[in-house]
Amino acid sequence: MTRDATLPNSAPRPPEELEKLEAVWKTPPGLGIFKSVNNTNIGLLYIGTAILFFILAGILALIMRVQLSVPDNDLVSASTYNQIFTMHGTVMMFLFAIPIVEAIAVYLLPNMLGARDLPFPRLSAYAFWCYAFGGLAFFCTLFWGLAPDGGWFMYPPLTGMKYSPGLNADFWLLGIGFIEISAIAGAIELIVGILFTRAPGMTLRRMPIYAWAMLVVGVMIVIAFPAVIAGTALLELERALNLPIFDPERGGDPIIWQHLFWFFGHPEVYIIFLPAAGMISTMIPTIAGNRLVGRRAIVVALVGVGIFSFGLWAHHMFTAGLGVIEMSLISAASMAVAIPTGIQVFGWIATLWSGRIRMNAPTLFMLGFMFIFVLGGLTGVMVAVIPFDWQVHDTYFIVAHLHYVLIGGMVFPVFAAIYYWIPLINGNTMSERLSKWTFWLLFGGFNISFFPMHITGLFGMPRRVYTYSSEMGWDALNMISTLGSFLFALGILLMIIDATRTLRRPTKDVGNPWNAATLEWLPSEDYGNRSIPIITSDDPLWDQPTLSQEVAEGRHYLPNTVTGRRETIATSPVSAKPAYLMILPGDSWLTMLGAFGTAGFFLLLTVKANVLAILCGLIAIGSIIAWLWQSDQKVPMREADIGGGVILPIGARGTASHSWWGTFIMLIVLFLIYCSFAYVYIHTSMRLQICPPPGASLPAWSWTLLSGGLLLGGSALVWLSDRVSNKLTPWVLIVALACTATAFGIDVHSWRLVNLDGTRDTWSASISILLGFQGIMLFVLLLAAPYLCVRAWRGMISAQNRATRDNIALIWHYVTLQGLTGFLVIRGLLLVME
Amino acid sequence: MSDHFFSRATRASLPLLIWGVHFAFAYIVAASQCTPGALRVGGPNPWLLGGATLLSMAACVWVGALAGKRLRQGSDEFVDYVGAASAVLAVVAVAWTGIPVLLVTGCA
Repeated sequence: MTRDATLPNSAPRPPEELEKLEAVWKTPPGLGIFKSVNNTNIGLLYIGTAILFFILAGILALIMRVQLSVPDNDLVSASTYNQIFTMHGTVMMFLFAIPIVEAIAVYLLPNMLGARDLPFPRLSAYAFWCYAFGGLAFFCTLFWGLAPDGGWFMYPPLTGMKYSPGLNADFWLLGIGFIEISAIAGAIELIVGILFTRAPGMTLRRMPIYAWAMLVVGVMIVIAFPAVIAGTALLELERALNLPIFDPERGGDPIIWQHLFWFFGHPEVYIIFLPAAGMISTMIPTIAGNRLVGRRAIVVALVGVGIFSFGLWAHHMFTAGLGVIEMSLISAASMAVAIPTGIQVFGWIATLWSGRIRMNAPTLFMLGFMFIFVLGGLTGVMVAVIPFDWQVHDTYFIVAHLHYVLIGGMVFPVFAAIYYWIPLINGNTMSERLSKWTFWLLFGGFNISFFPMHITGLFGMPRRVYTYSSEMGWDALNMISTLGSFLFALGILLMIIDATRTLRRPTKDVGNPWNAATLEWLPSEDYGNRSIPIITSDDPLWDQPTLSQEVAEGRHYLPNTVTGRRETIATSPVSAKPAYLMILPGDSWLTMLGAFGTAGFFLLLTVKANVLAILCGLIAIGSIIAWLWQSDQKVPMREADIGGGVILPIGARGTASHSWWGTFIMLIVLFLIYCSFAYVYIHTSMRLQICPPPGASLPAWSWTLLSGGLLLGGSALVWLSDRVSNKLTPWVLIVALACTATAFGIDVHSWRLVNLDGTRDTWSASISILLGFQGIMLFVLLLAAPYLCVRAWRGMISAQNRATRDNIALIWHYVTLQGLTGFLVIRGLLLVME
Repeated sequence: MSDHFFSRATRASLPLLIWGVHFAFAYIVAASQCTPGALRVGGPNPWLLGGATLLSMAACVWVGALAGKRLRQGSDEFVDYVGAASAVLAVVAVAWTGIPVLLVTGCA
């Protein structure tokens, strides 16, 4: 037996320990993999699906390039072309770019952080299946001529009922709107996972740069996505229920859509870029054999880019008629963001400079990334200059710029990442010889295709035209771009062949083929690492040379399953000290079924198959309730010995619990959606000469005060329910629910008394939407409160199992806060304006 | 959240948050003082915006100086390094934002 006083466990471990661990974490064989919720499996499915969408959207791009290769071409009609370019942009952005960065993260992070899994594996599985079902159904609309055709940013009034009366726009709004749910679910998993499941000793300072990037990105998704979810809901409400948000004739303003869309859309560029930057910061030290230069400065730069990126949204709106000061502010922020971006680039160059570079496939793609992305960044600074932007807006110059940024800034790093991390799957690396062919085809094809577009744009060719006349003088440039695009496609084909060949080879030991410093290269199986490592360095595999062996022998923490379930160590978010044992859920078909129901609900609602849609909605709700019912179960013990004399409590309560944090972040998302609706009300009110507009008025104060009082009463009773005996809890909750429901009823009644009509004008519509959102939250409580009561009656709530209670209480207080915020905004704004 | 996550995160990112507040304030003032609901003759108030810019820069410098001082004492090195470096970024960004605010007049 080996005992090292500095390690928590001795070796060899009892043989039955490993058998139990393997049995608990075993991935189901065959088709059973589809019920797996292990993030490492889900990550692979996610990556594969995202690449499928990349290929599909790429084929659409080739069709466009063939159409534009010669003037006056009639290969596709104008309306089909509109659908193709809309689908190309939408699929690339929503079904490839965002999903693949989240996919790579859920695949890599558990091992990179030294966790057995991230905290909400079922949420990840649900997010993936929502995306897969919804995305595939959305793509298929193209085959029935029902694909959206208003451009990937779907500006009204073009996408309003007047100019787009068909279902095409609805498919975008409902399809993409709900797919965004999966992005948010992924973000919650990443944020809580990064903060709670890092290996002991992996303090924030030692955390891998990639994890830092994903933490920043997770927060950005939580802040940015609610705006576009609100926007899509508003446009769909206008189309389906005639609530005139964007209709100028009834007081609406199309600019509202642009603000909401780009408040999401610009940070999204960085949501895509920062993970790529994180991958680069992880790979460059390995290929240079040198520590990352300016590591701490790069962390600051990541945070800086994340925050600055929220001040850039309106640089997509320089021709929309904003005020000069607003545009100047945005222009200044657009230039400011170049500083932290530059810090990262200089950090990478310095690392390469001071190391000994190995020229292999990942290196080539990273160098390609730097070249292309820097060019895209430079044209970005050019279009941040307002007068220049006015000249090139909506021309092919912008098409060139955005592809240099996105393909350079994200696709090339992802390709580098595929070459770098593919050995994790079965131990094999891709062919170095083929990779050179692939790289030069992609690099050459990309530049041949997109560089001429700068010139085509400066010559005045607008984007999104389906053909052009020879007299314009754009023929040669377009032909060159088309030839380049086919070279690029050839490169992709070669890469797919190489990857397929590599994945079909017999499995072998993964080892550490690049001599990397990060933990994902530790030996791992379905259960992650045999034991959870103790980290003492920024570059653990370089500075702790015996770590792999020690971990594989089970000499670090938790070499077994203490409770007989899936579990990992939860650590404190800053100093990564072991805090409690986190029980994780097992595999289940419920997540897939729930996602199927959710996708069916939204898509069938779009085609007005209401009965089937409701049926799917019930399937979704039933599956999610069944899944939640299985969680927060009693465990056979209160404490767990993870080795080295460290005894951890099993689970945690309140703010110390990962579950509480997951709920809290979800509520932030909901609150930001509500704030987006409140912004519509403020924007509309401020533009009115007389507010409230003629024919509209506010209800009497007495109704508002009564409703607000009941909301507070409901929350107070929920607070009280935690302080009475378990037998009384359900009854107190029922009274609390009655209070909250009555508050909402009074609110609706008071607005009816003043004849609020949401279809009359935008001001009234915005209030109706705020009310409606409060109603949706009440519906959530109407499901949650009885659920909690039943659990209380069945004795499933105790001091150890109180996550359900804590979370529902949190939601309840949020509903109160949201209601009170509504009163404050609606009445407060008018008081300020007076 | 036993190890003061929020206070440390705030300490590290405060200068950048000040930039965010200043940016939002300048944007909201500029936009609202040019709309009927809060129209101001002559356009956005340059004194208000200029004062906010100076105040924000001063706040960033102060937060940065505090972080720098703590960094020299070596108490919470990483958090203070991030705080000090964020302050440098934020001062530049606030100044950058402040320039157009002071140069442009009216609601054009």
